[in-house]
Amino acid sequence: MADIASSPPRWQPAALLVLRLLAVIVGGYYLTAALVSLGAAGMAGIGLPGSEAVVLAAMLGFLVYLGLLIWGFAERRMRLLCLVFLGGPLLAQGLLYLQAGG
Amino acid sequence: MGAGFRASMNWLHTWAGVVVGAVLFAIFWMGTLSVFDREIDRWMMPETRLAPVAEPASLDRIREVAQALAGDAPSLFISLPTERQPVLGIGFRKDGEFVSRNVDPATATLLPERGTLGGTGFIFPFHFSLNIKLWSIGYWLVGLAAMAMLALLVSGVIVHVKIFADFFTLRTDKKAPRVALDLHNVTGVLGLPFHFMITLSGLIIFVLVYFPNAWQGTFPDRAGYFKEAFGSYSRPKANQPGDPMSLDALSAEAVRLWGGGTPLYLRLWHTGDANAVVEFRRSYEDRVTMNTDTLYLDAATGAVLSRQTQQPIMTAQRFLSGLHFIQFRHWTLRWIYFALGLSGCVLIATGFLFWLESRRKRHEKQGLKGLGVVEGLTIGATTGIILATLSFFIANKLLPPGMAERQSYEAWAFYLLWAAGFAHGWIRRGQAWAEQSWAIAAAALCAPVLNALITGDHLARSLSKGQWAVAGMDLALLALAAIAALTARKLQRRPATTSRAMPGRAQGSTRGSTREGRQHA
Repeated sequence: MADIASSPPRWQPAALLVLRLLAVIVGGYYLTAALVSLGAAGMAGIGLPGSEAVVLAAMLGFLVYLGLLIWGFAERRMRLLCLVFLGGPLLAQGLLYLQAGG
Repeated sequence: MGAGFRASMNWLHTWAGVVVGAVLFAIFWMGTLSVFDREIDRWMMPETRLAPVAEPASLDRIREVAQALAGDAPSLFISLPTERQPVLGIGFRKDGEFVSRNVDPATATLLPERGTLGGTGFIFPFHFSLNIKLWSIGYWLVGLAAMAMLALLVSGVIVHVKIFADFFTLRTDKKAPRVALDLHNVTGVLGLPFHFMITLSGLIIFVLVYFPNAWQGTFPDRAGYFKEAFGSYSRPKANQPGDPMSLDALSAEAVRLWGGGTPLYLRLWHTGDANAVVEFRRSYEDRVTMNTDTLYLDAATGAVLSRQTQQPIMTAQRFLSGLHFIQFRHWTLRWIYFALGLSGCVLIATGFLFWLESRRKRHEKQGLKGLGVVEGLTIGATTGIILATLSFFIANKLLPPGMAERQSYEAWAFYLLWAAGFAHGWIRRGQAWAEQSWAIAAAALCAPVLNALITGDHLARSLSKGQWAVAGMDLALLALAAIAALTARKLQRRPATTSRAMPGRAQGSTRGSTREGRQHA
């Protein structure tokens, strides 16, 4: 327990902290929302009634977002973090766009 | 996932708690009161303190009363009395505003205008929207706070390695930070399943508010999704006068179709028209799941036009919602929810206290200012909101009946006192705790006295008449007064701990607290 105090998280620079907060909270939400839409489409695709798939995916969305929040505040590799929380929503939205078009 | 992970979680737990703690306390406090929102309604609306009736007035008679008031409103809403709400409600839209009135179910006469938002109109919506309607900001703030609460629960479990030992640890003889931490751990660990369930189910209720575009990959448009999920029914007006059946006969038909299930409310569409429709929503008093079983009957013939039930996953969503809304009849569980809600309030408040007490000495030495800001925030958020709530109750008794915009003044009494609670906390710092506790004790004593003087329903009478809602509210207020007075006395005997106190006197030895202080620094 004692070594906790001696190894503080290295997020001291304020700018990095703000970037992390925005990426994890806002980016994480958009990533979750896109995953919910995709997940619903996927579950509907394998035979679940559409409205049921949407509710199930959205309910699970809260747990996905919770997982992303916890990971986002524990991960120290800032680049990986930005890749997931900024690139992830874009990728998922792109997939959703393709899926809706096709 | 070694010490680095735990340090991150420690950081997250500390700062998420400080940043959203005030909003979380408000949500938990209002949610705890909402467990008894209808009972608070009885206390705040004396004209609705009616004895339950075995044989309520006929629905046709109620329709006449509503129609006389509503004129040519496109639809009429009638809610039926329940054990917790002994009045009928009627509602309709007039000049763009929703008007609702209470009706005595025994005589089918209109009760005077409410003149108050009461527990169901102020406290309950405050719980999930902070009563901020602009751009739904309130919903999103509450949603964000709820997600933060889930993250706090997870990070809290990770931070506390000795979770099993914490279960049995409450050392009241120790110094303030240690007691605060023990109490934080006991309420946090003991209440963990409840806190997780109540927070997650609260989010799940608003699943479509928080994920408004979840249908995007599955349905071509939002309307298509809503039609399949909720499938409301409507048909155009015929523009010819109709000959409606008796509402009581239609209601009996609904009960028969549901195999004994009773209606909770009904809505009349296109009243007087040949295409009039009566919508019946089934009561869920007898089960956890808040079903959305709805029947649409032809008002002229009683023929079933549409019948809605939910599919399995939607039923699960309604079950989780029901766990949160507790609309089922179960007084023991209702009290357990109340107690667990209060334990959530203690959890949040002691988290703040531990943050403050474990830093006070160090911050004083380093000349940091942040402590005062957080201390004022904590005071306003905890004792301040309790005081504001009591001011809302007292205003309800003191404002003259029939006064214009009476309900807005009640709300103002709440918000002004709340703002004053923060201001007082920031100005008086450490002394504010005891002062606000005394104020709570006085206000909580004052409210039942005013209730007795103004409505005449003093405890002896409400108890002997079986007015449990009124008596329970009075007794709860008196209990609050006693607890607040004891707390205030205890606080005043304690050596002062603010920056204004003599440096040598502050907190005495902190040998027991430095370790935890370092952990949470």
